Amino acid sequence: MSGRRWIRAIPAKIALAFYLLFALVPFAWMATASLEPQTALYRRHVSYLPNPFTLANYAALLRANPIAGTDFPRYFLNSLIVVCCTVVLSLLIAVPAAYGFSRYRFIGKSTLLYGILLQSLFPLVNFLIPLYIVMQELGLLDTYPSLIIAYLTFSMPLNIWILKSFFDGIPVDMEMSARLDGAGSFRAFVEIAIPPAVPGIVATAIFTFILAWDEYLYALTMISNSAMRTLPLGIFAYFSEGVPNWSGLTATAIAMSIPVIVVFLVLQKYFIAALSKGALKY
Amino acid sequence: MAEIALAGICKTYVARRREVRALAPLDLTIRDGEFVTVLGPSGSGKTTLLSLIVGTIAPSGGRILVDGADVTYADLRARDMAMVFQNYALYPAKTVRGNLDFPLRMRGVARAERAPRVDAMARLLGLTELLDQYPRQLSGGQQQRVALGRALIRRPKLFLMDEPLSNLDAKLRLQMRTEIKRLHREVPVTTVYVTHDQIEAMSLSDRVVVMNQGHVVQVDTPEAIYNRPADLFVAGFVGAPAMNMFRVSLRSAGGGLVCRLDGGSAAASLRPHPPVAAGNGVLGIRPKHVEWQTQAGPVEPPWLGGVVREIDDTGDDRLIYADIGQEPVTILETRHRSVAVGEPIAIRFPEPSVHLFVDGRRVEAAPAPAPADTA
Repeated sequence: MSGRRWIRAIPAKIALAFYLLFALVPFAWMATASLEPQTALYRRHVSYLPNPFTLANYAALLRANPIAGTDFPRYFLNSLIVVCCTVVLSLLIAVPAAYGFSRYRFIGKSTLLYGILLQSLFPLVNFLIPLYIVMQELGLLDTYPSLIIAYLTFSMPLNIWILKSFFDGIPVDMEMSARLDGAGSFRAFVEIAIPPAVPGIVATAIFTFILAWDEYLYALTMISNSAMRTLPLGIFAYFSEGVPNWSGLTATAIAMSIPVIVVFLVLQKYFIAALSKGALKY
Repeated sequence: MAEIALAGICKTYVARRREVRALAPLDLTIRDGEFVTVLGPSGSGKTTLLSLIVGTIAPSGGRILVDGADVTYADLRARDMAMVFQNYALYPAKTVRGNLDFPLRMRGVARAERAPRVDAMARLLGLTELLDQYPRQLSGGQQQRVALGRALIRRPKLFLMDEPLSNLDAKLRLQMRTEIKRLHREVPVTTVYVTHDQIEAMSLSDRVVVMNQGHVVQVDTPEAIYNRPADLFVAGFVGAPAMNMFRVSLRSAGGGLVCRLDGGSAAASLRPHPPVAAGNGVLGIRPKHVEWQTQAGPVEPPWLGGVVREIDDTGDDRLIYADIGQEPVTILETRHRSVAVGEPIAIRFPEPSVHLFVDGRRVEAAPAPAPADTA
């Protein structure tokens, strides 16, 4: 029985294997390139393993290079600050907002809810110039808040919608019971409604993290001071010379993906729980 | 513990500009320590009634008094009521101890006093071994016990249960029913228990409130509900197998009324009190009260001729489905007499056990001496 099922799954497995190959080969190529000197890229024969092997590209990342105008540690720190603030602020606002939308009836509720959705239906570019002008007026260009605010404008609507559906799936009886037991409505929210929503909250945190970590367009618009660059901007510094610094570029790209992988591996249990029982499956 | 008084409480929903009455105005006083069951089919308004008492919905009119104090629009926590929900609503992120402790902590009970009370409640419900487990690790019956314990631990003024046994299998349901009975004896909190299961209602309650389509149709002791159902709905809803009912014509004869089936045969002679005019009515009799015997020859009044259509043997007792002419009748045979399908039998409705309904309402009636049958 299980043997036959295994055989029936073979075509699907082959298709998935091809897809995996398709997705991973460029990444593997990049990893290989980051582990060999730049000159090795221009050889005639193909080598699938780094040859000669070197960690020099990664070692070079650890300190700023004033001549080339790159400063990986600085970019990394900038990215980390912007992204962490975005994630924390987004959740601090989206979790209570989603709970309110899920549990309470108030005038203008659906207008607000669909207004939020409408905003996220427009291309992000539409808001680029207005936001730039706002930041300019506020004197926030070239600061962390300019990016954090910009990222919140497009991460929050999605987060509110995802979390609202998540709260919708949690029986209201638990909070009613807590209220009868003597808890105030705020405590019923914090102590009773949030714990079962943790998978959903973690999933939205990961979404927001990846969204902000990869963001290029807004960073390019808001940031002109090289000391304030985030990682996606930093990568483009390698193109500024005549010949692109492929080794530095690939090493930076690999190093940049490590936090995303780490975050995902640590939290994947929650992420999968959210995908399998939460709002995201609809 | 407290006395709960409902004064003209009612609820009307407005849906698409049409008013839908979920609960007709209701007056009911629940005495201190009483166990009252609200019994009705789904959609009868019993959950609406419960939600109004507990405060999760606001009434359209009327008042709710707890020991004389008006709590109609009071906040949930100010009512000092506790509830067991149908799905138990245990807090998944808390252990059994955390669940039991929560109401005490929320009511500001000192830490030193809380632990012994949690332990005592755990002992009462046999949960001592499970105190450090999480709800998802417990069986349905254990979760049910935690829900009961969490509701009772702070001695609320009123204890409400919404179909608490409906998620359990049959065997566990019986066990938990006994448990709830014992718990109410040991912790006599005023209780309102909502169910659609008439056996739960009959076995647990001091009084039963029977509801149908938003109206309370009868409030009485379980015995009275069973023996003197107020109308056709209660008669048909309470009791399993259900009461047999026959449309009858009522003709006065010799100081009484003769009830004739559609076929024309006299089924019973009654003397209603107060008297009713001749006309039409419904005659009811419970399956266990129907008398029968095997019959080879012609049937003599007051016996009625019938034919066995189906036999249902449940082990403990036997149900005989027979037809009197066109009318089906269910007979509960408790003496293990055997009979075959298709066999003719004689059937009799003993007058002291029959129920007479006129215009849907019960009419008290005593047996009358049978006049000479002229049919």
